[in-house]
Amino acid sequence: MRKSIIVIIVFVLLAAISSVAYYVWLSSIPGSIRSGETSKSQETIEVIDALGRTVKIKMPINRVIITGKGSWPIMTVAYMFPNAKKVLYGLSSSLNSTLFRMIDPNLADKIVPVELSVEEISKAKPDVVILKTTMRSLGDQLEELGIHVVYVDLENLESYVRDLRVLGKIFMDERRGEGLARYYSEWVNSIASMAPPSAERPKVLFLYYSVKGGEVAFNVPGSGWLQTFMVEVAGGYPLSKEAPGTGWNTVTFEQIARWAPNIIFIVTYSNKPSPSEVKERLLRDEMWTNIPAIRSGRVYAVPDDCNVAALGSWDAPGSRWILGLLWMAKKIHPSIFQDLDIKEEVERFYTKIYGLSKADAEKVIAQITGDFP
Amino acid sequence: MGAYTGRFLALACILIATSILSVLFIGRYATNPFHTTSDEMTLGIILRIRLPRVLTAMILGMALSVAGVTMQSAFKNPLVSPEILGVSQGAAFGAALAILFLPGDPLKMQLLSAIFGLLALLASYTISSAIKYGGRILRLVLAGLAVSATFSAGVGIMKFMADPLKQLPELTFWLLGGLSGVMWRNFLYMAPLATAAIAFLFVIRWRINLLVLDDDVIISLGTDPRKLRALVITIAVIATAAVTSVAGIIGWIGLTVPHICRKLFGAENSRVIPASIMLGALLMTIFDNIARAAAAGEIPLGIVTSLLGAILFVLFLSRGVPHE
Amino acid sequence: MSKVVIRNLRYRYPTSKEDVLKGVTLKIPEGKVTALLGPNGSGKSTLFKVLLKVLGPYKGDIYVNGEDLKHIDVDVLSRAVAWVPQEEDSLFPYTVLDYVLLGRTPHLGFFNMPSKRDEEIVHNVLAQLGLSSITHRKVPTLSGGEKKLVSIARALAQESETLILDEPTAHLDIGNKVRVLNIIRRMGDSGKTVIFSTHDPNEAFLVADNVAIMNGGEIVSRGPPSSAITGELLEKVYGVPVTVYRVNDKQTLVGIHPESFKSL
Repeated sequence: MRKSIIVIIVFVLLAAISSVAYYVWLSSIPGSIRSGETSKSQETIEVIDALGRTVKIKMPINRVIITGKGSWPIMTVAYMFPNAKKVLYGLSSSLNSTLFRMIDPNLADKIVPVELSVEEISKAKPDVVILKTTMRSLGDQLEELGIHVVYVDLENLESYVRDLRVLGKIFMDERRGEGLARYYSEWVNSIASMAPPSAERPKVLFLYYSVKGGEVAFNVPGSGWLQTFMVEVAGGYPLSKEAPGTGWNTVTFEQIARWAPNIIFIVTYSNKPSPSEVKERLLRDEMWTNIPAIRSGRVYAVPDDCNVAALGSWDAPGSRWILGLLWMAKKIHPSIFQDLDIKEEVERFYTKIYGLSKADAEKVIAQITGDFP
Repeated sequence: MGAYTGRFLALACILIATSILSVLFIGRYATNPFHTTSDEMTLGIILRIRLPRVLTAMILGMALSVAGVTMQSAFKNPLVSPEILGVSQGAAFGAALAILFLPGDPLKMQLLSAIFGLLALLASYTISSAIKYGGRILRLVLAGLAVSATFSAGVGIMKFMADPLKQLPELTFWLLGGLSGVMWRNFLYMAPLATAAIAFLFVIRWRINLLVLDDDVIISLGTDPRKLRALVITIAVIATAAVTSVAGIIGWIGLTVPHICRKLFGAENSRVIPASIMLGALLMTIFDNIARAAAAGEIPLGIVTSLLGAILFVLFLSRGVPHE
Repeated sequence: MSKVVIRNLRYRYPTSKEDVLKGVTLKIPEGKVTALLGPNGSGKSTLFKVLLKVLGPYKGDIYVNGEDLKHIDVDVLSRAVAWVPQEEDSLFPYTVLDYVLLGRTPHLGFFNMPSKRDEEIVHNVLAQLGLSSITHRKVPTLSGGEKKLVSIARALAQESETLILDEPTAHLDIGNKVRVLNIIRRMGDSGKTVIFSTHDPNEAFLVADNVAIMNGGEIVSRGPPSSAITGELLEKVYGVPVTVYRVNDKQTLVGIHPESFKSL
C-alpha cells in the first residue's frame, strides 16, 4: 500500500511540475526572458530569413554561431564578409583547410570538434545563430531560450541572392551583401546568355562516382539540383535531368551507354579515389571506350580547392560553385568562352571576395585538384 | 510484500533524487538554480530545455519497461520486448514518411509515427487471424515478424529515396533514437496518452499475471484470455508507440528492465510492474543525461541505451549465486 | 441431487470431421467423488474442457446446478467449478504463494488486487495440503508431486463447490499418488463434488463413490465401482485380459493374472 502511495505521489509531482512549466511556457515570450539589462542601444536590425520569418536582432552583434547539419555552405559564404572573422564561432572542423586558414588565421579558435548541443550553444552566448532550414528542432529550442535564430538555405541561385542579403545585414555590411548577390546573378546571366540554343548543346553527364564497401556506384544529380542547373547555364544538356527522384540517382552503366554523353564531369567527394584517379580509370576502361566523351577525351575532374571530402568540390553548394560554373562553361564551349580567363577569375575571387593577398591566392590555386584550369 | 518494501522505497528515493538533480544541475550549461535571477539563461535552460526533456526521458523509460513486462506476460515469454509486433518499425516508417513528405513539422512527424506504430499492431492482429498454423501466440509472433519486416523494408525504401544531404541524416538520427529536440510541446503531445496507458497497466498489474498461465486455465479462472491479451497488448503498444514517436527507436530497455526487476523483486507482476516503472524511469534519465551532457555534442540515446544497458545487464546478472 | 447433468452431449473439434464426444449422457451427483475411467483418447479431457467452456460449441444439453451451461458466463462458472489440468507449464519463477493466489481471481473485480483475506484463504489451503513449508519456494524448482499439489491448491483457493481434476495422478510416484487421492477423498467428505479422470481402475475403487467408464466418446458403464467395473468390461475397453480381484470386503484390486500375461 505504501508503495502505491509513493508512486501516486511521484505521478502527482510530475503532473504538478508539468502544469507549472506549461504555464511558464505559455506566459512567456521568447526573448523576454532576457530581463536583465535593458539594452542600452535599442538599435536592432530586421531580416526576413529563408523560412519567411521576420527576425529582429539587437545590436551590436558580437558573436555569430553557425552550426548543425548543412553548415558548410553557410560558413563558406559567411567568410565572404570581412566582418565575419571577428564574430564567428562554433564552426565545424571540416572548415579547417588551407583556403580558410588563409582567410582566417585565427580559424582554430573558432572551431569546435562536434555539432554543439543546445546548452553548449547557450553557454557561448551568441547574439545570433545561423542554421540551415532543416535544423528547425534545434532552432526552436534556441528561440525558447531567447536566442535569435536565422535560417538560410543556400541551395540555388535564388536562395543565394536572398540569403547573401540577409547575411550582409547580419555581418554589418549590407552593401557587400548586395554586391555579392549581384556578382552571382550577373555571372549566371552572363554565361547563360552566351550559351547556344538547345540544338547545339553537347550531352553532358555529371557523374558522382562513389565507392561504398568495395562497390562502385554511378550517381547522377536530380533535376532540381545545383549541378544540373550549372550544366544547363553553362550551355550543356544535362542528361541526368531525365532521371527521376530528388536525391542522387543511381544509374547503371547501360543507362550511361545509352545516354552516350559527349562530356563527363566527375566528382567523388573523396580522396580515395579522387576525381582525377577516376578519370584515368574511365579513360582506360574497356567498357567505356565507345562512349563519345571517352573517345574524344572530354572527361574532366571537377576542381576542389579545399580537399575536405565533399566540401571543397566546386559543384557543392559552397561559395565556389560560381567558379565551378565558369570552369564548366569553358570546358563545354571552349570557343564561345575563349575570352574567359578562368585562372584570372579565380584569383579575383580569392583576392576580392575573400580578401587574400595575391601571394596567398597563388598558394591556394596551386593546390587546387582536378582539371584546373 | 513486506520483504520488498525496503527496496521499493530505496528505488523511489533514488529516482526522485536523480530526476531533481538532472533537471537542476546536470547539463553542459553550468546552472546554479539558486542564481536564477542573476543569470537569466539558467531559468530558461532549466524550465524550457531540461525539464521537458527529463520528464520525457522518464516517461520513455516507464513506458518501455512496463510495456516490456506486459508483453512478456502476454506472450508467456521472458524474451519478448515491446517491439515484437512491429510497433517500432511501424513508427519508424511513419517518421520516415513525415521526414520525406512533411518536412519541418516535428509534431506531424510524432503523430504519423504514432499512427503507424498502432497500424502495425492492427496489421499483426489481422494477419495472425489469417495464418492457419500454430497456436494463437505463435501466430501473433509470426505475424509480428512479417509486419516488422515489411515496415523495415519500407523504411529502407525511404532511406533510398531520401535526399542524402537534407533528409537522410535526419532519418538516420531518428532511427538511432534521441531526445535532442524535445520541448514542452513534444512532451505534451505524448505525455497524456503514454501516462494513461502506463497508469492503466499499473492498475491492472495483478490481473496481467493471469496471462502467464495456460489459456485453458485462464478460462477456468473466469477470464477470456484472448480478450485480456488483446487488451493489454493494445495498451502496451499504445504506450510504446507514443514514446517511440518522440524518441525514435530505443531498444534494450523493454527487455532488460523487467528481467532486472524480476531478479530484485520476484516474478509476480504486482511488484515487477511498479518496480519496472521506477527503474525504467531512473535508467532512462541517467542514460539521457549521458546522451546530452557527456560531450559537447549530442550522443544518440539509442546508442547509449544499448551500450550501457547491455553492460549493466550482464554485470547485474553475473552477481550472486546461480539459481533456478 | 445432481450437480451436473449431461444429456446426449456431442462435440467435435473444429478441424475434424468426426465427433469426439458421441452422445455422452451422465449425471454427476452432488457432494460425492466421481471417477471418470477410460483409456487414452476416449474423450475424458475433452469432456472436461467442454464442461469448463474451454471448448465449444457443443450439441446436446449440459446443466450445472440446474442451469443451462450455454447461459452461464465463464466468470460465474469459475466460482462454481474449479479445474486442475493434467499438465501445466511453469515458465516464470512465481512463488507458490503468488501462484495459488491466482486462484482467487474469480472473486476479484477486474481492477482489484488480492486482499489480506485472500491471502489468508490461500495460507489455509496450503496448510490443508501440507504445503506451508514451501510457500515461498519458486514453482519451477518444485518436484512433480509438489507441483501437482500446488495446482490443486490453486483450484481449492477458488472456493468452488465443484472440483474437476484431469488425470491428477499421472506421472506421480506412488507416494504422491496416494497423497493426491487422499486429498480427493477428503474433499468429497467435506461436501465438495469432485470429478476426476483416470485410467487406473484401482484408483476408482480406492476413492470414488461413483464411476463412469468412457470409451470411444461414449459412457459404457456407470454406477458405484463395485457394480460398474467388471473384468469383462475392462477387457473390452482396454483390450487386454484384466481381472477384478475381491481381496476382502473392503478392498478390490484390478490387475492382470501372470498366466494371462504370459499367454498374450
